Amino acid sequence: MATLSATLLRTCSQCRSLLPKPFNSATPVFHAFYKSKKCFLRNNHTLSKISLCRLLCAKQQLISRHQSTSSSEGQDVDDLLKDFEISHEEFRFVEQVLPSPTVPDLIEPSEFPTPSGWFPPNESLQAQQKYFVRRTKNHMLPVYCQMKNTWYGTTHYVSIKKIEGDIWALEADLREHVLKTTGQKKVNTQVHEVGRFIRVRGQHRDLIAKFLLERGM
Amino acid sequence: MASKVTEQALNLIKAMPRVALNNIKPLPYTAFKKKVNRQGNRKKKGRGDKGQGARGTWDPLGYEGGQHPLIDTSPRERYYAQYAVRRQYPPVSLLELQRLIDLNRVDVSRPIDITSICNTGLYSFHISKNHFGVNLTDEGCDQFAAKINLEVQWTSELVIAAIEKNGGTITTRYYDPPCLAALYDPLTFFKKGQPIPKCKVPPQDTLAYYSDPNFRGYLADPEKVLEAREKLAQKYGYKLPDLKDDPVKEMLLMRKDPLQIFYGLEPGWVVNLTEKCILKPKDEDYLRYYHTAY
Amino acid sequence: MNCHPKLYTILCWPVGLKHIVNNFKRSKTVCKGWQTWACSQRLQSSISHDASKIKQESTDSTQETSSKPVVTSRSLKFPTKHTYPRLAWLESMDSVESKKLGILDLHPDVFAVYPRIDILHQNVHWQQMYRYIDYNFEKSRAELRGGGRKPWPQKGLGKARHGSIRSPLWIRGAKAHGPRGPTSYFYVLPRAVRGLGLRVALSCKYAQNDLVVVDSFDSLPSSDPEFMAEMADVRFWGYSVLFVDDTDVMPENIAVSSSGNDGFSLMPAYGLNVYSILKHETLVMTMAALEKVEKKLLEEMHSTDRQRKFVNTLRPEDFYTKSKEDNRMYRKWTQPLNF
Repeated sequence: MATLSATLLRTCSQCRSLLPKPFNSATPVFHAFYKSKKCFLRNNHTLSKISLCRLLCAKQQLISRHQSTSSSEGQDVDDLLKDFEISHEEFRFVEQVLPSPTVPDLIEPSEFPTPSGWFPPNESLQAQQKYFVRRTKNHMLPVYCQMKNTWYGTTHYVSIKKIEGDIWALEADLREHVLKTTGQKKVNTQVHEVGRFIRVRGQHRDLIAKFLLERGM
Repeated sequence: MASKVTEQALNLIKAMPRVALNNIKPLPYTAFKKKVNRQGNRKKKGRGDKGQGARGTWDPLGYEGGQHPLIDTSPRERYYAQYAVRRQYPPVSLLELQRLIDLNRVDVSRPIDITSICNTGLYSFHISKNHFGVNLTDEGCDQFAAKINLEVQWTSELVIAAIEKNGGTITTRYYDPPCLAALYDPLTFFKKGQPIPKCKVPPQDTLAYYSDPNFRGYLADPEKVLEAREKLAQKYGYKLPDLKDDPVKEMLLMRKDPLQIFYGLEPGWVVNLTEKCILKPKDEDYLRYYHTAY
Repeated sequence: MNCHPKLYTILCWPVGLKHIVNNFKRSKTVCKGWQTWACSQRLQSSISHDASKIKQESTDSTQETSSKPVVTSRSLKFPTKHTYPRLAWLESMDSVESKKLGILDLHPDVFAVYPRIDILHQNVHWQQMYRYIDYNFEKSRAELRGGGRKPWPQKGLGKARHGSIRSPLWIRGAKAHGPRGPTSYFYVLPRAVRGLGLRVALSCKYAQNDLVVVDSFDSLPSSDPEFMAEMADVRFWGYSVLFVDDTDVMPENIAVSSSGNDGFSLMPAYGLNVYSILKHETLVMTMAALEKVEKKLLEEMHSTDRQRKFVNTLRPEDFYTKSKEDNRMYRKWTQPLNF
């Protein structure tokens, strides 16, 4: 029996209890033993402690909510995991990790364009136009690419949103600019007066973005 | 003022009857009509009448009536072999990272890792799609001009050169999926009240990458990493900025423990958000589990 | 009427006779509050939209009504450059007549957005539909009684061939694609549209002078419903008023007096919705509620949160109210039955 236990069992490094050695299908004796013992997980007992720790955390929150109620029911949970330290110092690392709920304020850079090529809106140039395009919450131009896949092929659009002021004047300028720069014979545009956006057909995203930046949007 | 149209519209409704439940309506031609299959489930099911079309007995795609098909003439290239189990790294370019820095979306004064990139809300990945973190690509490597301590999951040599040229440091680091879930959305993770997980060792096929000093792997020998930095500077022909006299040297040399996933927080600790404190269990077995790597 | 009646026929949103007649009936409420409007408009035009300059003028104008005018200028978060902050009077509830306590800055992104009537419609339609369940049910030909037998032989009678008397072709037969069972019309409007709907509704209320800001509801002196009715009458608040406070525990006076009046409702700030705003003629908000609503809507506009698709995490089990034993088809008898 001593030899059998030496070949099949080992002492756990964590709790000093006997555990089966790693699975080896070549030894039929072990296989039977493995089945009878219902499979020990290596960290079976530690996992139970994790769940206890979870319970403790939940209990802490409950106590903080109902200060007046006594904690006699959870006494046995405390006994099981006595060694326990509460620290407030390291909570600043948690706060560093948590996201800010809103977009942080822009620190205006001194030089333009910034290394990534970002320009701020230019108010003096904007004042010369009849129209105005607002920036998004991420301080970017609201110019978006769209793609429509249909049975007759793929169509590309570029849409400009958040337009204020004379939307028809912007459409006319844009149309003229696209025709001039690309050399196309015609350009298809759609104007949504209520939704305040324009949709241009074709892959003109960079062209339109440059057009808007030149006008200080 | 440019926004006159809004003013005009608001002035217009001043004189109009009150906007109420009885006088609002949708824009014309926007009603969505639901398509109803009037044939039900029994008849032709939209497949027309009789013949090949109705019975679905088309030839398979690529069948050329018995002639040796064209598709057989060239050898197969299995682009999608093992796609379901391959590790994916959704890309972020250097240009995008620079834009995030320019617009104050990530804090340069602290080490940047996958959490700070995800917290902007502008980058996302899905653990269920076998995504294992950020792949930093070299688009915009010439414009990049920030001095940062960066930690990503995958990069190329050119990106490493672009960052070290500006005096920054970079590490490639593996995280297993449960850790990635905590890093992706720390707030929901802390709300669960679970202990902070320990990071597992990388799988065998990536172990070579993450212990390679040329890719600044987090398991590489630090002395060999210093050598590799100098070699790369010679290769790309830039002068490596000296970190010894740097005012932010401490920040630039901050590294996580291979088991650690958040800066300053050890695995096994439990965060209590309501009381703003951290619970540190002292149990021996517990600590042994969270401080051994396997 | 301040407006020529003929103009109303042109300017009405849906041109319908019934609606115009209704407006004539409510002539009292239509012409309400023009004095205050004119006053604030004069202020707006003369003062070049600067809160610091407004301070002096507003104190001059309010000196007649109250001895201690309180001018509240607020620091607005997320400022915009292309428009100017809107102004609203801060009123008090301590007397029947309105007392002007000061003047307020309102954020133009919340109280002066483009009036998207279609977005309002989307919101109202969603609010009506998401809780609507259609219980209409029609039996199919299988569920109707009878009809299993072939009514007459296939051939030899000179009549049309039929297999069942409950076929949809027959009188007293089943309906082919009738309504089946309880159908849920639940859906979720995108978060951005819900936010925009609230901002549009508040802008419309402000533009039409139906938004009233008061300091708090605590100052209401009486719990008499008639006092409240008189106050609404004198201040031209109309027949239905929505009072919004930042908490859901309201002062006793306003709770009692509004419950005594039909059409007067109380609501906490978290319950504010497009349907209720449009249903009531006037929206009365406390200063605290206004700040809470404005902050929430602005944070929603500038949030870093990813827009996730709505996923219903509720399972059918969550809706069970009875215990499992009551739902059983048969009951286990522990004791033998004694007949």
